[in-house]
Amino acid sequence: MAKIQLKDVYKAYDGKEVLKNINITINEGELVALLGSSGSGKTTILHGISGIINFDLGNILINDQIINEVPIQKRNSVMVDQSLLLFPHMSVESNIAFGLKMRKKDKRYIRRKVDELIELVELKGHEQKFPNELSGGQKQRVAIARALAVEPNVLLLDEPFSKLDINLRKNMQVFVKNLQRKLNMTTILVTHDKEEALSMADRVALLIEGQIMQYDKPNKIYERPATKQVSDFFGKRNYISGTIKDGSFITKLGVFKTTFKDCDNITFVLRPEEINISNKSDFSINGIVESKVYLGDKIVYTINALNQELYCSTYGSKNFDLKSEVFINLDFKNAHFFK
Amino acid sequence: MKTKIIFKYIIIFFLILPLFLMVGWSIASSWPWPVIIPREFTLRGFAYTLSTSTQGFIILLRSVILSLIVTLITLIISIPAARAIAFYNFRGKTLIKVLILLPLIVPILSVAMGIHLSFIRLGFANNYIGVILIHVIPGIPYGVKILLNIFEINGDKIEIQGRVLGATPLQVMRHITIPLLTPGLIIAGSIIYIISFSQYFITFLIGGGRIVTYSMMLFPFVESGDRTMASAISIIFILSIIIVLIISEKLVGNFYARSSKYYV
Repeated sequence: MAKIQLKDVYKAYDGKEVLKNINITINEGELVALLGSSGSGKTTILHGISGIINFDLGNILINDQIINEVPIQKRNSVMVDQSLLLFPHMSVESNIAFGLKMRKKDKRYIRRKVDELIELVELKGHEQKFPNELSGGQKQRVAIARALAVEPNVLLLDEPFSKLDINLRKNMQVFVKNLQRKLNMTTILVTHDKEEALSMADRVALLIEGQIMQYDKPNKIYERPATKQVSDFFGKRNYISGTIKDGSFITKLGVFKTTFKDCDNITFVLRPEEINISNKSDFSINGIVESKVYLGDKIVYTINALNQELYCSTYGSKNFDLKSEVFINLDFKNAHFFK
Repeated sequence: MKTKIIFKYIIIFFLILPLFLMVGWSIASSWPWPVIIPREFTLRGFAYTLSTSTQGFIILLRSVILSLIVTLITLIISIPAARAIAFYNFRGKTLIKVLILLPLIVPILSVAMGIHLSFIRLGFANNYIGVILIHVIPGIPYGVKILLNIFEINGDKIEIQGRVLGATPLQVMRHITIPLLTPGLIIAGSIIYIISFSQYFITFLIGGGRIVTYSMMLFPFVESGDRTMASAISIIFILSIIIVLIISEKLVGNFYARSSKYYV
């Protein structure tokens, strides 16, 4: 358990920049998600921290000590790969004991530690089994127990749940999150799944093309994105720009009352769930339903209003037909904006 | 269905039947055509091969040890070679791949003729060192190719995982690389052993006739048409290979079965 810092980290492969100027601090006991699409450099950061690769420039600090030159086996930053990489020729308990055995720990200590971890990850009764006799979730827990056995400075999870089916994935996310909280384990989770990042992490760092675009609490990064790029990553959103003059916001969609100060150019961000939609004329703007996507818990509509496309979502009980006329209400009171 | 049955009988006729004939010949002193069961029996062949006075048994033992040493050396050379080809990119990788497979294409005899001169100069001719070295050459392509495939299947990620968990490179080798390689080592080792055990002419050439291996014992009898002796020697030849392979597989297999339980 430790504080991890990356300072001005830079990495290029064959002249192609993978990481540019990465600065990030992960506090002790914090779970940070590195979120990004594939190729954004998130796994490269994990590999650099664990010592599998060296960064070209910049420093890695663990508890304020520079560890750039520490060899991989002494980093004590353990990674759980997405393919888990359990040792197929060793039983569950041998897998878990591996790191301690390599460190030549006392046999009684290893025994006690392994028993403790088996208990912790709920694998009692499976100690003597081999990896190929386990289910997906059990393998996952062995991999995590094996990493935790060596009491690492930081636990690095590289898309650990991506190969599990959806229900199991949800269970494992809760399981790992609880375990992390219980042990106060500094953890970095790499993922491309925004829901996973938002639900598990204490803080989320969004990586786009090797740069950290925003590093913030899940609700902040989702509701108050720093740039349009960040905002776009979390899904389709409505951007409504215009000018503010004497307490009114003037846009192509009409004029709205506002308490904001005068401003020449402002863009408000409205998430689909923030737009109210109705088939009676109680709202000011009317439009036509262009498309409709049924998602079970909600329905997402694309509405053409005054030649501008707006994305709205409603819960399943509200249902509008394609090409029908609807009325929408835009509320900018608490809306997020870029200037 | 019908073709399957036909194939079955073709296989029996060409592969299994000759073995029965050989067993028959090894204990028959006279077996004229068209008699089905030999008329007179003798244990002359087996007595010659296994008695200590003729040195047959000692030659057999020496050959087994020689081929085991060759197998060990070939595997020790093949492991790092296969690993390097599987995991690293370097200049001339394709060339080295071709060169390693070359002994399959170029007759070993021509290689041995060329090497013979150098061996004489270096003092490797007419002794065991030279014979062991020349036996290693035909085994290398099989060793490297089989282990290369195993390395490519396993990948190096699992070795890196071992490092991340705190193992030194040597520990990774001992606890991860070699155990995962074991199936390949058994297959490659068996093939290398059989190749080495069956070498006749290159042993004769490099050993200068002073080093006599078991397969060399066989040839004078085949040449002179002594079927009883040739069959007896061949049967012991086959049996010795089977016994050595079974024992080594059991030893290697057990060793790693135990090592898995060893951690806790």
